[in-house]
This record gives sequence, structure tokens and C-alpha cells, in this order.
Amino acid sequence: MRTHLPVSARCLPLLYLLVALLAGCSTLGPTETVKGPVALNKAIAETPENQLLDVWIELFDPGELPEDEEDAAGLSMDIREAEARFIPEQLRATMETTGYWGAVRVVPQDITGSELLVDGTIIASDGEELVLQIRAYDATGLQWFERVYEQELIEGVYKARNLLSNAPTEDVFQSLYNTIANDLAEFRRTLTERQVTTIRQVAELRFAADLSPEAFADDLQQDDKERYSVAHYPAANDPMYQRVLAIRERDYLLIDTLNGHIDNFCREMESPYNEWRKARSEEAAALRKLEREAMTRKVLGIAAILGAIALEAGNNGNYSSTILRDTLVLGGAYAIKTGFDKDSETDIHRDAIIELDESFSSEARPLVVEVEGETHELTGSAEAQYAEWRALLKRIYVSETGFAGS
Amino acid sequence: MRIILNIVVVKTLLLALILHGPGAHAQVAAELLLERLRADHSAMVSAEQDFRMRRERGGLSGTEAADYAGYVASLHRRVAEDCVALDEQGIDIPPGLTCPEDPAVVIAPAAIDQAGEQTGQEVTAALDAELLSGLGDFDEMLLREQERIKAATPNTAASAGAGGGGGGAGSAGASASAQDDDDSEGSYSPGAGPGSPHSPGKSSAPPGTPDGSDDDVVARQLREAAEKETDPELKKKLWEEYRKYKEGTQ
Repeated sequence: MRTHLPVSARCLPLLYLLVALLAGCSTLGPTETVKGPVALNKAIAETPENQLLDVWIELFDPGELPEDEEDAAGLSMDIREAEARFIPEQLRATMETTGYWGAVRVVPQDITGSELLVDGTIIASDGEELVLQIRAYDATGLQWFERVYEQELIEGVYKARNLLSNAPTEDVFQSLYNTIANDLAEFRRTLTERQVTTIRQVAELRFAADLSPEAFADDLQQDDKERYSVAHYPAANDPMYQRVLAIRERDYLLIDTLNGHIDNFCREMESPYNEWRKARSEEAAALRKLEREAMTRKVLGIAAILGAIALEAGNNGNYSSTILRDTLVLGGAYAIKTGFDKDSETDIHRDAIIELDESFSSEARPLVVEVEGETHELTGSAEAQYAEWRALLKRIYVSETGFAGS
Repeated sequence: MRIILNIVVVKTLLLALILHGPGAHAQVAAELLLERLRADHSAMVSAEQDFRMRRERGGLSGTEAADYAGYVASLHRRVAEDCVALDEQGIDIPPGLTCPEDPAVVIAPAAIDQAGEQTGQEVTAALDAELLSGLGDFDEMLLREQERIKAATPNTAASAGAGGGGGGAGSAGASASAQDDDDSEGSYSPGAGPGSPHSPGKSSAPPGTPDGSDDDVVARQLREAAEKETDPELKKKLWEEYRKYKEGTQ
């Protein structure tokens, strides 16, 4: 006989399942944990030129520092701002060597015209752990994926690299970058030739429509999911389109120039950043070791005293038991004392970490300010120039067609 | 500059009348073609020299340099056109004149409206010239910026050395520096001038063509014309012109 449970009771298991799923899959997207070395997937055959997608990697969002005061100790937004420029450059250099892509560039945020756009947020980074949220979209508006990538280094990896004569020369988080690059390449392989062509054409047309909406806005269409498609692709000899393409060439050159600044920044930051990560990691490892020892000693001391109390309770005036009790009390007290001594030793390492962070922050800050100023100056000039070209293209359009455009 | 071009326009129209008229006088046509080639070639050589000299002296502003570069590039195209016309008439190129060995059809951009005096076309041409000038200015600005970047590039060897001293982390530094070195031959170079293609993977330059990292504005225009050209024969010729020009400026 079937029991008739109320609807709420029947839905309860489903509710639990939903809660469990939501707990496992945060709003940041599914998480991919990198464990062990991950090889970079490279193209076996050469990709035809017309099937190469250019990739723009936006400067990352520096994210927020940990809420927990102890976790955030020493970390600063100056370091995060520097990493927000350094990490995309590492990903760029990784992707560039795969052979799956056209030009791979690091670009400031909110620049239009990309074929494939990758953006990221730094969720956590302290030299021992790196957690990134990565999203990838193509020009048609299709989201390739949104995932969280995390890698925690094995303790002592920096020290090991220091000792080995043939230690790996790549970045300590290279496996994480390889994983992201592999995932992007894997998605790219699922696209048909036609899809790639459409992405490239839409990217061009979006740039064209941005510069000369009166001439090209109607060539693009957007569906209710905000996905773009080509309504009409201009003829190769369309003079208006040729003008736009000439400007697009300058846009590429502008981005190349911006990359020059970012590249210089990364070169300058690389050495102090690596030193900071290494020193911080070593201090943190020493701190954890001391904390473990302090805790062990305190626990053993307390256990010894508790044992002494228990012994006292069952003691019938036995002499040897009295000696044992006293020994346990004294030993326990000593263990607790040394536990607290260890605690004060941990303070030294905590201070060292804070000092390291402050020192690196003060080194990174001017570099970030400099590269940010250069980027703003260049993009500012370019924006002014593009505004002029927009006006000029409009006049040319009116002159050629007699229409004022919409 | 304009006077020279106007003379050339008049001669072109005369030549067109002769060539297309009934019972065309082949001898006269040949003479006119050769004369035009000589004139264009001479104008091109002197304009190039003058342009180079003025630039070296720093006597040209960004706009002037872009204008002048556009003019020199148009003369390059005109010489290529002349060669095509001579080849079509079966006329040998006189010795001493540099000309593509295997002329092809040249589509010259209408820098100046040769056909008529329609106001609309003139307006468009003027606006196009303004756009071209703006592009030239922008190229100049980016060129200056890239030169600044190149000058500010930290010494890679020093950077690697500093990293190496740090052991493990230093090794990573050396690695990334090596990667950066590779970049200079890869898809972008921080020090590359505006002449560098934005994506070598997409560059159509034949093997052995300079990478364009140190192009001046004329070379840049030639390179751009070659990259954009769809006719394979003409493309080849433009690359040839580009290489010759680069050799001349080395």
C-alpha cells in the first residue's frame, strides 16, 4: 500500500539534494583542483590561418583579501594588483606556445573587438596556494566556460627547487596555467570551421559597428540571449569596410604597445615576486611547524597533568605512585611551558611574513602605478583618436551614400 | 607635390585616349609610357631621398611625415602600375630603372580623383586623406611609445641573473625571461614598431622578408599595402618593393 506523504515531505530528499549540490557548486562555477604536474596540450598539426582565433586575456580582477585576519596577515591589495597583471601574462605566455591560437594578448578591461576573451578573478594567492576564477567568451557572446582553478603547492617545493641542480625552470603554478590553457584548447576543438569563421566575422563586425554604427550596425544581429550573428558580411572591396579594417590594424598595434608595457612590468616584477613567494612560503612552513609543535606540547602537558590527577585519585599512599604523580605534574607543566614558548617563537615568523609582505608591497606599488599610468595614458589617447575617427567615418559615410545614418 | 601629380594625371588621360583610340599610334604610346615611367621613377627616387633627409633632420611633424609617406608610397604604386602598362604593350624596361620583373595588374588606390570633378567624390577623397593622416599620426605616436618601451625594457640577462641567485625562484625567473626572449620572435615583441604584423601567424610575408620591427612610415605603408593585397602577383610585387625599400634604408 502506498503511503500518501504530504508534498513537502516527498520533496524533502530533493531539497536536501539541491542544497548539497548548491553547496558543492558555488556561484563561482565548478572547481578544478590541480594536483601534480599537468602537461601542456600542444597542437599536433598546424592550424590553418583562417581558423586561428585571437585571444585577449583581460587584466585580472584582483579580488578581495581573506576575511580571516590571520589568513590575510601581511597580504595587501598592492600585491594583488601586481598579481592581477602578472598572472594573465603567465597564462598568455602559456597559451601562446600551444599552437592552437592566433595572437594571444593581455588587454585592459572592457576593450571591444576580441575573438576570444578570457577574464579572471584572483580568489586566493599567497605564494603557496593560487585560486583563480576564469571565464571565457567568444565574440558571438557564447560563454565557453566559467570555472575555478586551484592549486596548492606541496610544502617545501621552493626549497627543493633551490637544492636541485636540474630543478624545473617554469613557474611554480605552471600546472594551473597549463590546465586552463588545456581546457580552452579542448573547447576550441569542439568548434566547427563554420563556427570559427563566424566568431572571427562577428568580432570584426562588432569592431566595425562600434566605429561606424551607421554603416555596419545592421550587418549584425543579436538574439534574445544577446548572442551575435552575421546578418550581412561586407564585400572585401567595400571602401568603408577597408577604412575600418585599417583602423583595426591600428587597434592591434595599440594592444601590442600596451602589451609592451605589461611585459616590461612583468620582467621587473618577476624577480622580487619570486623571491617574495619563496621566502613567504618558507616562513609560513616554519610557522606551521612551530604551531604544530606548540600544540602537541600543550596537549601532552595537559594530558600528563590529567594523568597525575587520575593517579592521585587512585593513590593509596603508595610512594612510587606519588613520585610518578609528581613527575607527571612537573613534566606536564614543563611541556605546557615549552608549548607557550613555541607560541612566542611563532610570533617571530608571523612578524617576518608581515615584514616580507610589506617589503614586497612597497616594491610592487610603484611598478603598478607606473604601468597603470602608462596604460591609462595610451588608452586615453587612443580613445580620443577613435572618437575623431568615428566622427570622420560618419562624414565619409554621409558623403558616399547621401544618408545621414541612424 | 600636387603639381607633379596633376601633370601625371594629364599625361595619363592623353595616354588613355591614344591607347584606346582607333588605330592607336603604338610608337607614341610607347614613348609616353616610357616617359611616364621615367618621370614617376625619378619622382619616387627624389621624394624618397628628400623624405629620408627631412626625417633624419627631424624637420617633419607627425602629420607632415604621414602625408609625405603616403605620397612616397603612392609613387611606389605608380611605378608598379607603369611597369604593368609597359609589359602589356610588350615594351622593355629601360636599363637603370628598377621595376618588378614580372609585372601584374595593379589596382592603385585613388589618392586623387582622376576621373572627374564630382563634389561628393572630392569630399570623400579629402576625408579619406584626413583619415590617412590621422592613421599616420597614430602610427607615429605608437612608434614613439614602442621606442620608449624598448628603451625602458629591463636587461633580460640581469633579470635572469638576479633570479638565478635566488635559487628555485630565480630559476623560474630565468625561465620566464627566456620565454620573454622567445616572445621577441613570436607573436609580439614589446619593442616592435608599428610595422610589425599584429600576428605573425596571420602575416602573409614571404620567407626572408624583414619582420617589420624597425619599419619607418614608408615601409609601413608598403608593408600594409602588401598585406592587404588580394591579387597574388601584385602582392608578390609589393613585397618585393617593400624588401627593396628596406634594403635601401639599411
